[in-house]
Amino acid sequence: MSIPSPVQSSTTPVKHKTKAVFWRERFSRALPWLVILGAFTWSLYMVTRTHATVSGGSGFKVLHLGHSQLEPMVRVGLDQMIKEFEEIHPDVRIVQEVIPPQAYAQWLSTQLISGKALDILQDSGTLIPSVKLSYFARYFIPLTQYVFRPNPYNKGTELENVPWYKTYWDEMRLSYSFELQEYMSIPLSQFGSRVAVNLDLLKKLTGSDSPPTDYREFIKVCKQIREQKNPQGKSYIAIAVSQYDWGSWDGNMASYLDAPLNLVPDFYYSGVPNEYSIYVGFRAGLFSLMDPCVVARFKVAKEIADQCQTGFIGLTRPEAVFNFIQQRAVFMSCGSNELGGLMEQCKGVFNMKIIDYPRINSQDPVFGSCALGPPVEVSLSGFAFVVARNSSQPDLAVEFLQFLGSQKNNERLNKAIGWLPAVEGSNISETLLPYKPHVQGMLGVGSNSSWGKGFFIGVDSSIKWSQLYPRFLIGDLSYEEFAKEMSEYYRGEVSEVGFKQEFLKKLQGRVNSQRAMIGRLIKGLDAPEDDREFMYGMYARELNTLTVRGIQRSVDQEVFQHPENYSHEILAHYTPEAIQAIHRLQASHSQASEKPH
Amino acid sequence: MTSMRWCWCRFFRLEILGLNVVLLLAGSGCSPKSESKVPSIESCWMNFRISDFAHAAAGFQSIIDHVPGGDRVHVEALFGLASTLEWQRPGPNLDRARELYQKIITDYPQSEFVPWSALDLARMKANPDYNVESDRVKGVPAYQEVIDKYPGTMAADEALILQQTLRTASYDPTEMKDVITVLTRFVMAKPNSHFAATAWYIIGTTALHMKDHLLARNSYVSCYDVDIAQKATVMRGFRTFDDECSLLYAIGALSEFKLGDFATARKYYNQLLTDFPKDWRAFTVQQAIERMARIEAGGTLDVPGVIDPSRRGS
Repeated sequence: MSIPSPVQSSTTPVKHKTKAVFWRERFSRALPWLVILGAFTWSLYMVTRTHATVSGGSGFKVLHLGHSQLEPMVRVGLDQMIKEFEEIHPDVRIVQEVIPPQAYAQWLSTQLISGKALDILQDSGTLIPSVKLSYFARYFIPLTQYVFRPNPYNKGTELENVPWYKTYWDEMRLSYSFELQEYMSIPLSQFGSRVAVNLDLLKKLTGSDSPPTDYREFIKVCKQIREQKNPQGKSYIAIAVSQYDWGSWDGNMASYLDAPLNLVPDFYYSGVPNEYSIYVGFRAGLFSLMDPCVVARFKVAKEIADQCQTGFIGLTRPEAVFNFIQQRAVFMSCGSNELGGLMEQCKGVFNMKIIDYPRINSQDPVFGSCALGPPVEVSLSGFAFVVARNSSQPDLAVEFLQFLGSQKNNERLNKAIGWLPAVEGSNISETLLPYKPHVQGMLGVGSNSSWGKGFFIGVDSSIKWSQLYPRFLIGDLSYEEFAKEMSEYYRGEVSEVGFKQEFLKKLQGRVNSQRAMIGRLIKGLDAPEDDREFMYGMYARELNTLTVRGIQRSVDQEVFQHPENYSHEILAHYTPEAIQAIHRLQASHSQASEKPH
Repeated sequence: MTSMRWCWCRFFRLEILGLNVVLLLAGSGCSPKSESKVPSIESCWMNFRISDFAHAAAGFQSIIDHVPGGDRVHVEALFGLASTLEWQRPGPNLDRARELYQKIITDYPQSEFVPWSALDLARMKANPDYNVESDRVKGVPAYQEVIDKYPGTMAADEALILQQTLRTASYDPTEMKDVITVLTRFVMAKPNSHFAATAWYIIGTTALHMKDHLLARNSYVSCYDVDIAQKATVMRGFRTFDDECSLLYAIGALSEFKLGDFATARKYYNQLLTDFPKDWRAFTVQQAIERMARIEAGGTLDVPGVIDPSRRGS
């Protein structure tokens, strides 16, 4: 087929050459097809082989589970639970796939859009909320009907007849999607923070190997540590901390002390006034930044900051860990999820112990009246999983999650990983016992309003706070100066604008609520006759939420506009009427106790 | 080289041909089918719930175009399209939404969507712009129209709740007094209404602002009782009152601080501890129970960490 050249056609070896050329040409022509065929055959072989491996041959139900936790023990723990589940269900095979967290969101999107997502997927926090919401609605199965029924794998335990969501210590708060009005994911672990102590260094520097549990004693020990110098002539660090984990110290030791303010600017008697009530209460003069418990909250924070390494506000977490591992610091905060790694690094180098954050005693002469108990831990469960709509075995996938989310199995899974179980009554492994959460305790108003970051009203107030608070912590501002500047800001025009902006956002939030209500109404109108009353009740509940929020918003607005009318409206104030009733009560009590038996 | 080039050209030509065949097949086989397919009303509402308004509106419109007018689904799609246009952000189309609601009322007067459409029209008068507070002057009569035109319907009951919420937010004593009267009449006439708990709550909050602490406390107690009764019957374990825990706290705190009724305070605080042992307020309530015991035994009325504003100056 090739065009013969003039040279080739004029000589004898031409014939010979033509034949060689002919075969070479035939080969060249066939080569791409051979390569394609070879690649296809090889890929077919590999796919078949992999499928045979994961399915264990024909006749097996196969579930695929994907997550982004690279920690080796997560894989080991899940493998162990998979093995146990497969023993109960010999016809089931579960395959675990680990995807690096950096690529998880893209990988998940590709899987979902292609319609070939794995059966069970980790609800990773790396997706944009709006995208996550649309994925929830399109690609995952709502789990409400399952979480409102008891978990069959809790049979034989005290949780046997308890709805599944109620068996979790946080009642699966983060699994509920307000927009979809459905529970969408099942969490498997929870997380917390405690203090890691280098016992050897503590003993060397203080003579004691018993870490302090009392706040005053802790500060004393910290001072003692800081006074001593290491072989390089540098002072030892009492607390290794960074910008990243300062919040753990602040939240666990200081910011909860302003909790008594929960009884002050609570205009609708909710027990947990929101940031708007706190702000308008402040402007109405119900409290000031010089109130004893507010002062206590900030002074304790400053005392702790004084025990940390210089310039900690600008440091990153690895720098804090480095100081601790290098035995330059005695104390460091440690998350329950990083304990395993830290223990590994300290193994054979020094003895480490995990303790709870030292507490202020209620008898403390300065801060005692504000320290009524430990801080309540508001951290919630995580490591949650969803079930894909395209799963060929959705019931089996949910059953596997029920297996993992049952009391005993959740305990075993987390014991293997080294994390905290999320289900109530699960035993926590001995190393993690100090992480047992404080379910009851004081909730600081700062924690309540903006998760421990002060009384934020608008974006500008957070900037103000982030400018002034670190300056106060490093000693650039005295408390009086800090309180004066913050108070002037809260009373000034800029914060008023911030409040109005926040208020506007709240008003606009009504649109979302109203949309959710229409969704509910349609469920009611379209429901079968038997379910209608119930669905209308659910609709009424949405209206109730909207009404209550609307009333509360209008109360805050009213106090903001007429602060003078509310300057004495604190919740924890006994009215004259109440005092009279109490005196009568006291009188009857004393009479009863005086009567001879 | 020449033969290789030829070979590749031929290969690509074949590939392109194959691709064209696939595209032609896909084009001829799938496109007309998907065009003729009318989406289900459920999928349109799902798009509405997840804020995919473009698909929701297109879906509802497709149903309107393909399903005959007398069919319930047609009216529901009209309502769906109106709702989408009203609530889509950004860019609501309120005029078109108004037209569609009005069309439902005019063309399908027997439909169950009529009172709800009328309620939405009233709501649009009360809230012409969600960037500002509701318009009380226009809203109150608009809701009254729904109450008068569709008595006995759930939409009329909701209109009453919305109307009285608007009135109580005026903080005008005469208006607030009237709100209490109107809503008390409502809960007496319809004690089992799904909105009864909400009505009791509004009465309670209004009374609180009128400094009638006893009425406020008792209304909250009624709100709680209605909620519990409905929870045990039609609500299958759910609540109609969203935040029962706050309600228990409010009853306890009002009884303790404003009425000095420690027995009632203790009862509801304990109820909170029983029903919501893991709530953040549990610790505060535990402290309150201890505080009351201390006071009963002759202790002072001081609350640790709290300064009475009247003593702040001294």
